[in-house]
Amino acid sequence: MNNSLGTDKVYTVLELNTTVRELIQEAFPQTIWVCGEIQGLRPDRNKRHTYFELVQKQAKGDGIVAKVKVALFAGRKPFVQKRIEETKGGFELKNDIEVKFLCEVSLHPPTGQYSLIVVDIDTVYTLGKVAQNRLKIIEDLRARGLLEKNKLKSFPILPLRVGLITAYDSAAYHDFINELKNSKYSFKVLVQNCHMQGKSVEGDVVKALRFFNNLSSKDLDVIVITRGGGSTADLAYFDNKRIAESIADSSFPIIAAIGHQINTTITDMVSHTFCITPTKAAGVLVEGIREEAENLDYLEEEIVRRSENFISDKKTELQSLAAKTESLSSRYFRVHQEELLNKKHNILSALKVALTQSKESLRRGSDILSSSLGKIFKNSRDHLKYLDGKVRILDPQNTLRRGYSITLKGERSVKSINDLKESDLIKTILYQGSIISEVKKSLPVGRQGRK
Amino acid sequence: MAKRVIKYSEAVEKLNEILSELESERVDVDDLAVKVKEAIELIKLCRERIGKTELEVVKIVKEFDKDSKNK
Repeated sequence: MNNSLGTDKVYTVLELNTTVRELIQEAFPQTIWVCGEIQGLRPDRNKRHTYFELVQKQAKGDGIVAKVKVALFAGRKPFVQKRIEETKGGFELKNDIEVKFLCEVSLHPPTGQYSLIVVDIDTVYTLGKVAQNRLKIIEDLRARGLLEKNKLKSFPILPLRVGLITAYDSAAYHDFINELKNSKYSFKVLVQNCHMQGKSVEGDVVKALRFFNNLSSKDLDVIVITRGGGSTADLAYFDNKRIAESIADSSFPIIAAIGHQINTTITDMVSHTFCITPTKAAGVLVEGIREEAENLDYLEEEIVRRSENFISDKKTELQSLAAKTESLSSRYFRVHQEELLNKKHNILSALKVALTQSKESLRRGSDILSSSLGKIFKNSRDHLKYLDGKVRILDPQNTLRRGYSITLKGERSVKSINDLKESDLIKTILYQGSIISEVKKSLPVGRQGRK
Repeated sequence: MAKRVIKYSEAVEKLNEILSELESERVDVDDLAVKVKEAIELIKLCRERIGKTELEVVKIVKEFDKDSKNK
C-alpha cells in the first residue's frame, strides 16, 4: 500500500499553490491575449482594484461554457482607461461586452485562486465586437420584421397626448417640454422617469413602454423616447434588443431622439420617427399640430369658397333657367302669337265677311228702302202735283183774277158780315190792286155772301 | 349625453366629405346652409381640440412604481 505513495514529498497547501503558480508561469512565460465577455463587474463599487469575470458563451445561446476570474489592479487601471478613452467613447468597461485583454496568467497562492491580471486591452477588438453585436441585433430584428414594424403605425393626426420616456428634470426633458410649451398647443405629457444611461436603461425603458402601451388610444397618441447627447458607450445602451422588440410591439408610434447626429442607435432605427435632439422631437409634434391647424384653416376657406361657388353656380343655373324659360315662353308666345294673329285675322275676315254681308244686306236694305222711298216720294210728288194744282186753283190771285175779292179789316180777312159794322174801314183786295172803303151799310143775308 | 363626442379624425373626415359634396354639387340647395353650418361647427370643435391652453405635464411615479413591483 505504501508503494502507492510513490513520492516522499508532502506539499503544504501553500507549497502546492506556489508550485502550480510556477508551473503556470512556465507555461505562460509571457503575457497572453484572452477574449471573453465581461460579467460580474460592479462599477458602483468604488474600489482601487477591479475584479470581474471573463465568460465564454455558447456560440448559439447564452449558456456559459467557461469562465475565469480577472483582476484589473489599480496600478494598471489608468493605462487601460486611457486606452479606452482613446476610442472617444466607443465603449466602456461594463458587463456583457466582449473584450480582448493582454493578461498575465496568475495564481494567488494564499487563496489558490487562479486569475488573469490585465495588462492591456485591444480596444479595436471590442469596438468590432460592439459593432458586430449591434449588426447582429439589427439583422435579427430585420429577419423578424421588427425593424419596420413601428414605422408602419399610422401617426396620429393630433399627437397631443404624449408619453415621454426620459430622465425627469434632465436637460433633454426641459428642452422637450419647453418646445411643446412654446407652441401653446394643448399638449398633455405623461412622463415616465427612466434611467437613460447605465445598466438600468433596458429595464426602465421596457417597463415604461409597457406602461404606456397599457393605456387606451383615448389617453395617448404617441410615445417619445429621448435623452441628451452622450458618448458612444452611453448610447450603446440603446443598441438593445429588448428595447427594440418593445418598440416594435408598441401599439403607439414612437419618436426617438437618442443617437443625435453622429450615432443612430437601434432604438432610433426601429422607432417610427427618429430625431436628432429632444427639441426636434417636440418639433415634430408641434409641426404635426400646426399642419393640422393649417389644414383646418384650409378646410374652412375651401368650404366657404366652395359654398360660395356653389351658390353662384346655382345662381347662374337659375339665371340660365330663367333665360331658357324666357326664350321658351317667348317662343311659345311667338308661336301662339301667330295663332293669335291667325285668330285675329280669322276674326277680322269673319268680321269683314259679316260686314260685307251686312253691308250688302244693308245695301239691299237701302235699295229696298230707296225704291220704296222712291215710290213713296213719287206718290208724294204726284200728290204734291195734285195739291199744287189744287193750291194753284186755290191761289187767291187766281180767284181774284176770276173776279173774287178779299176783304180785310185791319190785318184780318173778313169772312163774315158779322165781322163788320158800319163805318168800319175795310180794305178790299182785287186783282191787280186793292181799295180802301168805308162800310155804309151791312146787309146780313146769307145768300149774298156767295156772289 | 345626447351628443356623442366626435373624434377629431372623424370630424376632419366629415369636413372633407362635406367639402367634396360641395365640390361635386351633390348637395341640394336646401341642404347647403345645413351643411355649411355643420362644417363650421366641426371646424370650431376641431380648433377647440387643438386648443390654446397651457401645457399639462403629469409625472407618472406611482403607476410606474406599482408597475415595477408587479414586474
